Amino acid sequence: MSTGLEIEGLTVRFGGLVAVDGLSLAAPSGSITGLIGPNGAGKSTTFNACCGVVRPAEGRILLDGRDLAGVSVSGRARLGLGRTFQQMELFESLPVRVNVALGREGALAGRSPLSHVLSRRSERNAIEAAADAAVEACELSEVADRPVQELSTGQRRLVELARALAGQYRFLLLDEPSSGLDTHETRRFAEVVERAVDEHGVGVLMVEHDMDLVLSSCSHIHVIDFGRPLFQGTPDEVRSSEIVRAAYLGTEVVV
Amino acid sequence: MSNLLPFVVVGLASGALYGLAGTGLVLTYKTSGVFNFAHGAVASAGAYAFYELRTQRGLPWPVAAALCLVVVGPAMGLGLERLGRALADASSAMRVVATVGLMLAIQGGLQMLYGTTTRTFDPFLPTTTFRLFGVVIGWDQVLVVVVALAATAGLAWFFRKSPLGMAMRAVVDDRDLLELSGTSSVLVSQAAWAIGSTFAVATGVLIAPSLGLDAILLTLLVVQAFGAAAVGAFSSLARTFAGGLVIGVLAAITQRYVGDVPTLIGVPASLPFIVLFVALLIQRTPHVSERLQVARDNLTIGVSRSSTTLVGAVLAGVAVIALPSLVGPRLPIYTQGVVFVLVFLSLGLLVRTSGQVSLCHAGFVAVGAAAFAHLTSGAGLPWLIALVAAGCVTVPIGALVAIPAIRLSGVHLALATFGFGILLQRLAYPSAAMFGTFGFRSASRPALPGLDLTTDARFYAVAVIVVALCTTAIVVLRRGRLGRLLLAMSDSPAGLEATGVSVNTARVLVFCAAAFFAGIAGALFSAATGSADQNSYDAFASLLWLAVLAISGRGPLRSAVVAALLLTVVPSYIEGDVAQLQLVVFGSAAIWAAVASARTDASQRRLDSALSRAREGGPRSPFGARRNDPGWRSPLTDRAPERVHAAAGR
Repeated sequence: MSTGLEIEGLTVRFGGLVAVDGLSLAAPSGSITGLIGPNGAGKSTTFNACCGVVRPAEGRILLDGRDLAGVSVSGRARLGLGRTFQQMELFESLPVRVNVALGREGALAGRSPLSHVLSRRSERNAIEAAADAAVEACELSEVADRPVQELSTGQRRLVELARALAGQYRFLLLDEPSSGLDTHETRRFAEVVERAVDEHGVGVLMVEHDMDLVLSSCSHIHVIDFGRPLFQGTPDEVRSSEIVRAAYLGTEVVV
Repeated sequence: MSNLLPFVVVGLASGALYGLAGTGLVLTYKTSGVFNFAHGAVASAGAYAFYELRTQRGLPWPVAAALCLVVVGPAMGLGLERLGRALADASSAMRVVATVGLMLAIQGGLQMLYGTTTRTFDPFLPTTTFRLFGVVIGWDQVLVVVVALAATAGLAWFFRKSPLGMAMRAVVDDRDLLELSGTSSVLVSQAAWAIGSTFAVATGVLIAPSLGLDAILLTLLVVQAFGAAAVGAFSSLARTFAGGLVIGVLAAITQRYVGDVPTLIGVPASLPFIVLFVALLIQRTPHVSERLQVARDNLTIGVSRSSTTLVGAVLAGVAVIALPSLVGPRLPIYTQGVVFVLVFLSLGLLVRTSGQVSLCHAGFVAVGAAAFAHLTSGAGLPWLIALVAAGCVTVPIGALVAIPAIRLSGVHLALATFGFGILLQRLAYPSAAMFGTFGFRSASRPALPGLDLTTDARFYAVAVIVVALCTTAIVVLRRGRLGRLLLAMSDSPAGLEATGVSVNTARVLVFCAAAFFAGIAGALFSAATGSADQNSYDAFASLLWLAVLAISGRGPLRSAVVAALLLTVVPSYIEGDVAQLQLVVFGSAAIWAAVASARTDASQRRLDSALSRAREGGPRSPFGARRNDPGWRSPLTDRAPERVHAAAGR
């Protein structure tokens, strides 16, 4: 059964601060769902709760119907939940190809000491194939042998995306993928994501500031503020929503 | 209970000094981010300065003390501040290397100047006593506690209330912001380092009368302040001082009971390190993803092995084979050198490949050596089987050290492993399970029926073969999946975890592997020298090894060979006693290497941030922007990304 990612009544508290307050949303497979909101709205906290970095006080997070409570960060990745980072977490000293290949190899290594040391030939072939496909899809072939630290921000974002694609996850969480990218790079990034969704039926939940990217790529958008849902709908509905406009502009109007 | 009181009094006096040293350490760590492993060495330098001024130059003690506190302490502090600033951009591993190097250099320097024998240090405080509740108390003890308490309380007040103290706290929070508000952050951290070093000097001067003048003992004693600092979570001055008192009193009280139970003989002196180890383990010090690389090997995985490395390998092979006929009676030294290649390879596996600083490697080697001696001489196992078994026996010890590695990283892991190494030496080395009360066990060289391998030349060949096999295994590990995972982990644990790897498995595995090979090296070393001797594996040797590895350049294999040559072979060609000179040279070189690495890192980072700043895109919000909201970009560079690209030089 592939229903994608479901968040049910999620509440996260940091001490006395309620960062996310009873949030529910569904991000179905085979489509891109956007999660937007002003700074401090609880986007990142929601995101971190999905990845298992933050423990929710209440509520459930389901991946294809399976409750993720108590599953470790790496365990969620092994269950098919991939992610990227706002502050990119790349293997800076390693070549692009190795970075991408580790996206697949990581899940195979898993948690068993034996699989950390030994790799079967069939696994190696699968890793090769996945890395090739991901490098190809992200158009990174030319820089495949260069260490990541030598690349530009735009290319590095693509490397991180390629690593996630190589992992062949059923669902991807993208944390502000466009930050640091220019318009062209953002467009290219979006195209790769959209293709992965179309061709492989991957589900995507994207936390993003860049409204152009969200409005053009997402099929459904959730707007939150103060940890609570504010509005949800299609890009067109969001674009014309007075509530959203008011939340973003607030009282400090800067036009 | 009443017969415990004298021990409590002794404990309070020594504990107050640990607290004093600990608060100085915490102050500098907080304001600079550099944990000063050389804090104990600074203290002993202070004690030696006092000795020089008072005993050698004949100054009255108050003058000597004043000079130490007003001139020597602050001067060393300023030097340290300079070093700390140079290390601001260094990886945390390199910071450890630098201050460890400084500690070695100061120790070696003091021993070169004043000799290695302990000198008496005449008491300068009144030693008359008085009775309180039936307990004899020395006035010097009272004075020590009063001085330490007053100094710590004064510092705490200063830190909270005075403008300079506030500025120090501001440096901790945001150096750049402080600069913007018109206060020189350099001046502020100079003040912090001056105070911290003066506290160390005061501790050294006050502790020396009860201990005598011995560079190593003094350093070690002040290192006990690490435990106090750990109790204070490396940030609270008051808790650090309290931690010092608790450690002092607990150590003194256990001293009382050791008389009854001889097996606990090492416990009182080990207590500060037990506290250090446990406090680090139970405290919430989250695994922050610090940048954590030693000048990392430019390892290129699966990429062509160039012809130069092939030539190098052939040359090295020829050298290894020709060696016995070239070096004559020095061959045993070279055999030790060969063994140390394995020691440094296994250390490199931890420090270089996985980016985890371990300061208890001598402990692993010692366990291997002792196990080997037991298995051959004791259990009578065949030589080769005993060798492998010695490695296997060391694996659980490696797994044990991996427990802190799961929770800690960077300097905290370095501290925990350092504490563990000292615990191992104090508590386990003398036990029957390891070296026993004599401190050594005989270890044999292999003898096959009809083939005697015990001569120097033949054992050299045995050592070369074993080390070559282990090296091959390590290279295979590094080039295989585990190597990739470890390199990735040292770059970004969070990124690796996101791919589905349970990074704790990788952490435990690399410690086990490193311990295995270190254990084999220990077994070989004991066979080479004929006995497993606990003096060969002093806990401080781990520090020296790290320093030597850090100055041996890049390249996983080559650095291990260079380090082994530097440590074992080179000194044998120098006349006279070189142990102290070695400390000074390697220590200084390690400092230099760390500073140099910081410089390259910093220039790289400046370039990176300039590029990424120039690349920031424009706003794409249909709604305008919330003011002061960094999430929305300022509408400056929207129209011409190409031009921005050009500006960024790409």
